[in-house]
Amino acid sequence: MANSKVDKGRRRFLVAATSVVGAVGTAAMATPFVMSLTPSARALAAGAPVEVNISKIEAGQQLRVIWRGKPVWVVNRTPEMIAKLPSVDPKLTDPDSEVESQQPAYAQNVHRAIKEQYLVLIGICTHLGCSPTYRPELAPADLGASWPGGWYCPCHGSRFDMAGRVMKGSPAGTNLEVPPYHYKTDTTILVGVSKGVA
Amino acid sequence: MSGLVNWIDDRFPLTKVWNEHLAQYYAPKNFNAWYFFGSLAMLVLVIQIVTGILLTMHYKPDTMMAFTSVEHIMRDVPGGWFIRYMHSTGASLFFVVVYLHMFRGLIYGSFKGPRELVWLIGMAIYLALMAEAFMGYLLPWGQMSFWGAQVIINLFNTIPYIGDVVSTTIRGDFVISDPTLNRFFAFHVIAVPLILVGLVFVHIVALHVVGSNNPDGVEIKKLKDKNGIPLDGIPFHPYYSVKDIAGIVVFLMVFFAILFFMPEGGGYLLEHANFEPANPLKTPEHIAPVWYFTPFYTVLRAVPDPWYGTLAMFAAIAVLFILPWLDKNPIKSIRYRNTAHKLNIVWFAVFFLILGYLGVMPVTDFFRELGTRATQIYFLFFLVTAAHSRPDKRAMYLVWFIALAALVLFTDWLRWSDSFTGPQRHYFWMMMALPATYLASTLLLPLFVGRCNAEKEVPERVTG
Amino acid sequence: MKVNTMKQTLIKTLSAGIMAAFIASPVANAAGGGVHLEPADIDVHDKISLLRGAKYYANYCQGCHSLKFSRYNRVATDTGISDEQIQDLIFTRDEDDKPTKTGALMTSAIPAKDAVNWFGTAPPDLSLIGRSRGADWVYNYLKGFHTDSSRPFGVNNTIFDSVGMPNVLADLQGDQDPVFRYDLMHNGHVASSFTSEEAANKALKEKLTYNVLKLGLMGEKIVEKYPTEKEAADYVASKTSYKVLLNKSEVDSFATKAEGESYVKANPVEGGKYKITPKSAYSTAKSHKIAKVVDHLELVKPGKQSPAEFDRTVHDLTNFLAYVSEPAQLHRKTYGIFTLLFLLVFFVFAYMLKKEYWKDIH
Repeated sequence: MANSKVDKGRRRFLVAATSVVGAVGTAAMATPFVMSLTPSARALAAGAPVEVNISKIEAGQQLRVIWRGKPVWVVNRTPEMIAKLPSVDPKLTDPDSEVESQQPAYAQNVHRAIKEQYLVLIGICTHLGCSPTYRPELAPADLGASWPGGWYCPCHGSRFDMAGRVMKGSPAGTNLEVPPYHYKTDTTILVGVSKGVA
Repeated sequence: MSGLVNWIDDRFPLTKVWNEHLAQYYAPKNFNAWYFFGSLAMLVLVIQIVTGILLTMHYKPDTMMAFTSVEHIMRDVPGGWFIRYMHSTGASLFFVVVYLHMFRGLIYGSFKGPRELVWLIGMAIYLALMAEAFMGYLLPWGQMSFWGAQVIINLFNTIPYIGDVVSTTIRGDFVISDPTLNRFFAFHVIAVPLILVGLVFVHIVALHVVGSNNPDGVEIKKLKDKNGIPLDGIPFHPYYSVKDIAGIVVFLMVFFAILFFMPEGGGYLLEHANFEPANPLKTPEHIAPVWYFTPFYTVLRAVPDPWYGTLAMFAAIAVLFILPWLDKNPIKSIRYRNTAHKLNIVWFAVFFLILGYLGVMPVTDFFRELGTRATQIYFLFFLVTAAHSRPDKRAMYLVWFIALAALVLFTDWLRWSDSFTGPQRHYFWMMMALPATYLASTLLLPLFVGRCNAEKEVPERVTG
Repeated sequence: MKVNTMKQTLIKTLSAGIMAAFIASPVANAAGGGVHLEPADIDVHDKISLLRGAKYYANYCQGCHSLKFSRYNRVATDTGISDEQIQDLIFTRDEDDKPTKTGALMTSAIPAKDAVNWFGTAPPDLSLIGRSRGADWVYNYLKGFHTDSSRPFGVNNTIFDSVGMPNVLADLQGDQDPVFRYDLMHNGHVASSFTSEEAANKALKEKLTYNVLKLGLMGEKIVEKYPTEKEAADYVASKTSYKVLLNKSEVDSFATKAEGESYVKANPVEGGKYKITPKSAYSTAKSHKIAKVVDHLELVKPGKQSPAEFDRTVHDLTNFLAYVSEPAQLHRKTYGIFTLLFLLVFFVFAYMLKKEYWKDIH
């Protein structure tokens, strides 16, 4: 024992090996710790898809439902509203909905909807998270003669048209978000999940 | 790297602290397995704090929601059951480790000078730990949480004159209710842990001033080489740090075996009745505290009068504090003490376990009497320890024997009642053999058999 | 399958070993104390059984008993079925009168207020019954219903006396009549058992001293009439002197009390017992008791299922409830094995590292 020399290589290897195994173990144990910070089954259940019966929405009216704790609007657009949409294009920041995060691919069209009559939007302003007010009337006194109908955010004055597209000069930079949804039947839509996704 | 260390060293004694407590803290080289439990206690403290913080993120200290939130953790929170079981298993193993750590101190005389303060701080840690565990046990708001707390808080009711006020103040209500739960939560998650961490810090600082004891009870600082390094000392880091890692891995095997294979611990770690929400209208058929409190619970039950029982229970804990001033024998380690002392330690360990066992059992005549006798021996242990301080004065053993036997008979006379039933009388007389045997083996044996009083010479340097 | 069985055997052995190392005897389940329970012998990994159990639960139990900590989709995931499939088990509706969502908690159909009106108490939530009472208890409870005309629902239960709910599985099980047994209890232990009350009474009489019997005083009656030992003792003493024992002319024929006593001693009555002290009469009477217990149950009216089928049903239900009480148990032990294997590897390195460094220490 007394004359045995220190085998530095062996020591280095063992220190490294033990450290690596220890680090793996610590990481494995920390995994459930970190996972516990992610949404629980309760949060996921609260975020479950919401079924909306659209047959009762009168023309031009907006229905509010809650999905994942957020307001979701379903609007039964009148033919006039739909017809007016292209004419608003020059005033818009992103008329063709090119920011892909703001709608599923199936809603990246001129109406921002699966069926042009029904618009589904997450009712949260893309600026700082207020919920804009529905102002479908044309040219009201407070919003000015050029108001084409749409949403007005009371917090910082962002303006959106009848497809939830943001108007130039608004503090908000992107269009209102379209959530994933699909038609379960002709009169019910399921908000929260795209077609074919379980 | 060294540049950074220098930068910090100019502003904070990083290298100094590292050296004083790890790289140049010289620990005796002859630590055995008993010496793992200190660092294991630190490990469990860390586990409890980390898992506790994570549980706090999901737990709700509200009588309407507490039970539900625990089940929410067990089912809905990803990894929640693992964290909760870590915390519940950790609580029990904390006490296992701490009891073994304390027992180590007892057998190797680590509580003796110059380490009295280390022992006192350690006892304060133990007290804080008991408070922490007791208040934590209320939080799941199960039947045992509620009724266990009910029984313990009502102990304060037995204090003459002010009992009512004290227990009402502890509860913040006339019954255990929302304010009680809320304040226990506050104590459990912040107040007591702060105290615990502070005490652990002081415990270690105090230890590192006087240096560690060892299984031989030899002061390694007495013999130093020309550099002032103890001849029998080795740097804590890397020698004990690598050794402790191996010990920690073995401990974790036990820890995770319990956690994954028997988290309820057969009803000892998580009591069955605690899976029912607290119901103030219905007492469970059998209330027992969690196992780590049961030795003292038996002491409580051994004394018929509630107020004196409460006093006895607290005295059983308090007497541990004065151990350094009871055992004045200059030899620290059990290795070099006489046979009588070894027997005394064995008796103490056995009867502490018996006290613990009785605490989870329902009271029968047999168990009640055994609990009383075990309580007598528990307290006698400390007096016999004092008697063993001076083995050179053998004649004194007789005096001690007579005095302690008289003490036993006196307490028996106090508790004797004509209303004892046949079996009670029977066990009363039968189990008188226990203190009798105990006192005979620890005091009469060394008195009459010289071999059993012989102490061995303590070596200059540590062995092995 | 074989590997699975081996794994479980290993787990059981391991758990038992650890158990034995730490604990002498497990704490009895609060409610199970004293009653012998037939083991339920469940296997929570049997997904088909769990699913059948879930189905029975939804059909027979969930009307009243919620599983309010459990979610439908968790049950679906754990039993390996899809969210669509689990909807077959959802009979409750949410506040919008739509079928409850699969992510929802498994509440019961009955509003708590109505339940209190109907049953006098709200049917308890059963999410944790598998842990608070244990699987064996659940299994025996579900099989333990028997006819009892004195009860409001006409049934009682062998392990839950004066049970407050009807036998909801009666249409599957049929009706069971209890066959009673009379246990002669001594200090709470069964001394001997009898099939008829008369036989038990006879045995009890033999235990009691003759004088007391001769006076027509059953031991138990003494205890009932005279709450304190003193009162009973005084009473027995007043009745059991030889003057009472013998008729007047006999008494008169003895010149002294001692003569009379020796006569009594010389003429022992059946059982050879003749002497009584008030204290022994009282304590014998107090320590002996006849307990009427259900020995076994007899099927008197068959149900839709045969006894074997019904046993499987109860087994499945128990299995499901045991699973629901701790869903984590499905994976817990698997994690445990990997963790321990990992720690074993860790230990090898840590131990070698320690050895290497400690070469320096002489």
